Formats: sequence, structure tokens, C-alpha cells
Amino acid sequence: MLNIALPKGRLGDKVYKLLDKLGYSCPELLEDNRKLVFENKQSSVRYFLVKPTDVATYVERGAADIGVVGKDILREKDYDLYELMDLKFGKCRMAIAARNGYQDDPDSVLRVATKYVNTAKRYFASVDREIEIIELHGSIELAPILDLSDVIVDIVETGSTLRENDMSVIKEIEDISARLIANKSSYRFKEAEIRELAEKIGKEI
Amino acid sequence: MKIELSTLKKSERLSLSLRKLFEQYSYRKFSMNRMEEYSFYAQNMNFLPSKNIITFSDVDGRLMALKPDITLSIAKTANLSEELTKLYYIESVFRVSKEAGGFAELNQMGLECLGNITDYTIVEVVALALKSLQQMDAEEHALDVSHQGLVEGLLQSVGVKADDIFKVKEYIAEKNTHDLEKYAEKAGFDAQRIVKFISLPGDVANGIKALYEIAEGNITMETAIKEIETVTNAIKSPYIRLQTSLVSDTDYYNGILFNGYISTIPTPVITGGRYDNLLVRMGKAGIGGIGFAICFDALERYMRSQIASARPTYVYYDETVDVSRVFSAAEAVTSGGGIAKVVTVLPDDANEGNTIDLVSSNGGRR
Repeated sequence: MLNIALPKGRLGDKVYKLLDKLGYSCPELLEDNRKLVFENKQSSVRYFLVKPTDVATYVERGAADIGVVGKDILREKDYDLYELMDLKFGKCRMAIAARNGYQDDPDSVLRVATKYVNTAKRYFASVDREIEIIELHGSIELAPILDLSDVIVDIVETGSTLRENDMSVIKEIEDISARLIANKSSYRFKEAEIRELAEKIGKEI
Repeated sequence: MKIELSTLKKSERLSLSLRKLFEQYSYRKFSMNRMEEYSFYAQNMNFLPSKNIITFSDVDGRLMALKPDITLSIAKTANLSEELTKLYYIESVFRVSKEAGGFAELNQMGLECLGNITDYTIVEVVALALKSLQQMDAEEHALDVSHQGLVEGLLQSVGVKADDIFKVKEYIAEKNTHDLEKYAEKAGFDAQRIVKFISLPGDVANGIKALYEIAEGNITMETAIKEIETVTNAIKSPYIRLQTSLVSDTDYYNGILFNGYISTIPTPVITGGRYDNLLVRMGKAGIGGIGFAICFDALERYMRSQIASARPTYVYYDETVDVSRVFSAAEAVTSGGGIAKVVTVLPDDANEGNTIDLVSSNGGRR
């Protein structure tokens, strides 16, 4: 039995469709209900639907053997797990954005609003820039508009939210996409099953 | 003295049976102080897994630390007059624990062998690590084996520059071939052999064959492969797996490396390897060292509720009952091997079968 943690939402739906196609079906998952655990003994899988930011924790601590999670989340914390595959969907960019016409003053402490605190700290440390972090959990774009911050660090998919708020990307930090992760101990004991699944996915994407 | 094994936690029983095992191979128990001067660690930071150490000032003003690691202290102080010094210990180490979200006192049992390390010594220590895993009585267990020379030789022969080594090792440890390929393109080296290396299956016989192909004659790698072969040929266990993602990120290890896993625990329960570098650092060049540590905290966290939960016999009394009657009633229960719980308020689950009611028999209230 393979325990798979999927992120609730669009990414999770997409991953399930892929796995369903590859024979890891669990029709119950598509029903409109409030269940969190879905099991199919025939295809020998058990799915958990969890908050996207929690997928890596479930896998790291062995509650799930494998999972799918955005690289943005993996980069934010130091997880001890295997990153087996780039699924090449859920693509976006981690970027620094500011209001259009923003002029950087290198002599000042840069005020950065973000929910990716560690990613932002790591990037600005690498370019030796002193910053002040303003940790927010949503509507990050609001911060520069209200002059709460100079810039934001966030994931940008199409850039339409930025455009609508008169903002634009001033620097891309890294590319983000969905990754297949595995618990290190589970990988020992379910190596054949996990490798088989990864290979099947590899052929499909 | 008679010891009732059922009153011991599984981890306590394990610790006792491992002591017997280690003594059988002529390892001697070694105890030590929990403190060390901080300057000792400041000089040897590269050998520590984390730079976070609990420090405090001693009465004479010296900055002291609570030990974050035992092997370092053994390497410093062990009396190495014999050909081979064989020790084991059960001690606490103080480290930042991810699970605790801060500093934690971690229970460790470990085994160290210092001196003239021969191929046999390596086999013996790896075999003891495997036997220790077996004693944990898990449904499944596996001992991952690798060698520091594999990654070192490979990166050297591929031509990975010193600046890139740390990052590449990180990708190897994560089995992350996709980001490695992107990184290699930017850094200007060919990742193909490293990708093959990462993707090797755990099966020893096939893995070793494939490793020789990847080595392409690199001497550091071939020496390492031969050493792994010596060990796996001698022990011949299906539970030993080749694991190329096993890479040490400290300067600690220089030879064979191994990690033990059991199926109920998500992190390794045994970590170990060859650490001659450490001894060179301690001014003991020419002396070899090999050992491993067993993480009892991980074991205890996941091996809960193993104490046989025998039900107590309640001895119910109040102020009207003479104390000596209460005492002898409790004594009668315990001398018969039972568990006595003396109460003045009757618990909900008390009934005639499990209660000695001294109040009613005294004619008092019930």
C-alpha cells in the first residue's frame, strides 16, 4: 500500500488525474464529499488531501510515503527527504515585484513583504542587501500599494494580479514547479513501488 | 535481585540486549562527563552536524558547553595504548531537534573502535550495526551502506569545481537529478555519470557492478567499491543495501558510511562510519576510527505503549481505617505480584473483583 499526500486544490486535482491515468485510481476522491482519506485496496493506494504547505511535513515524518509539492514550499524550509522528480507542471516563478516606476535606493534598508520569509532572506543575503522582512499570509500585493513595503517576494504565474495592481516583476529569483517527493525510510521499504510509479510518471510527462 | 522484563519499556530492553551484544564482541562500557570546554567545539565546528550548542560560564569564568556529540570527546580523550580500543556508551547529547523545535536532550547509545582498523574491524562494526537493527524487532529493517570515497572520486573525476561540491552533494543526498542537470549546465560539467550514480538501485550485487562502470577507472572510487565489496561479501545479508544518496555533509567521515532504518520510523535510527579525519584533527594521525550511534529518541517516540498495562488492585480506605491495615492490604497485593493502587476516592472502574474495600469491611461509609 502506497500512501500518497496530495495538496488540496488545483495542483492536487491535476496530479490525481495523472495518477488515475497511470492506474493509481481511487474514484472516491472525485466525489463531492468532505473526506480527507481515500483508499483503494485494488490499486493499492491511499490518498490524503492536505494543505499544500503541509504535504512535505506529512512525507518527511512518514505519515505519507510520497507526495507532490511546489518547489517554493520545499525551498522555504529545510526538509529531509528525497526529491525524485520535476513534474513540470504548476510552473511559475519566484520573483521580486514592485509598483511600476519604483526606483531602488541601494543606500536604504529594503522593506520586503512576503510569505516566503526564508527564501527572501536567503536571496537578499546572497546579494548582500540589508532588508526588513514583513511577513504576510495573503494579498501580498497590497503591501507596496499602502507603502507597507518597498517590494514583495512572491510566486508569479501569469502576472495578471501584478498588472491589475499596477505592479511588475523587477527580478526573477528562480523557477518553480511541482515536485515528487518521498520519505527516506519509506523509500527503503517500498523502493520498487516508488520507482515504478516515478518511472510511469516520467514516461507520461 | 529479580527483574521483571515486562515492566521495562521496549527501548530499555533494547538497550540491555545491545549491551550484551557489544560486550560479547569485547567492547567495554565507557562513561563520561556531560560538559566540555566550548573552545574545543569552536575549533572543531566542521565536525559537528549543527553549530548550535548550549553554552554557559563555569564558576571560574570558562565558557563551557553541554556535549552535542560524543565521538568528538572519545577521539580526544580515549587512551589508545592498545592495538584496538573498543568502547560503547549510553549518554545524552544536547542538540537542536527539529521535532522539539529547539534544544533537546537526546538519548544516544553508540559504539566506537579506535586504533589499527583492518578490513575485519570494518566488517565487525558494520555487522554489529546490522545486528543492532535486528534487535529492534521491527517488521522490516535495512542497513544502507556507502563510502565517502565514492562521491569524492566521482566529483573529482567528473571535474566538479570546489565551489560547486557542496551543492552537488546536496542534490545527490536528495536523489534530485532534475535540478542537478540544470545546475551542471550552468556550472559547466557533464552530469550524466552523477545522474547514473544517483539512480542506482539498492541491490548490492547489481549496484557494485554498475558502480565499477561509473568509476571509469577512477582509483578513489575503485578503492571505495572494493571496501564495500569486502564488507558485503563477508556479511552476506539481504538487509544490507547500497545507497549512493548517503553522503556526509560534515568533515567527520572519510571511509565507509552506513545508516540503519526500520520500517516504523521515518528517520535513520543508526548512523555511522569511518572517521580517521577526526583523529588527525585531534593530533592522532595514523590512528583509525569507526563507529556508530543509535538514536534512542527516535525509537522511543515511535515505540510507544509497550509496557504491559496490567490492571491495578484498588485498596480503598478512609480516615476511619487503621493505617497498618491499609499497609498490610497493599503488601498482600504486591507480594502476590500484583499492582496496588491505594485510594481514598473509588475510581469509576472499581468493582468487587478489583477492589479491597477496607471502608465497608470497617463498617464505615461506602
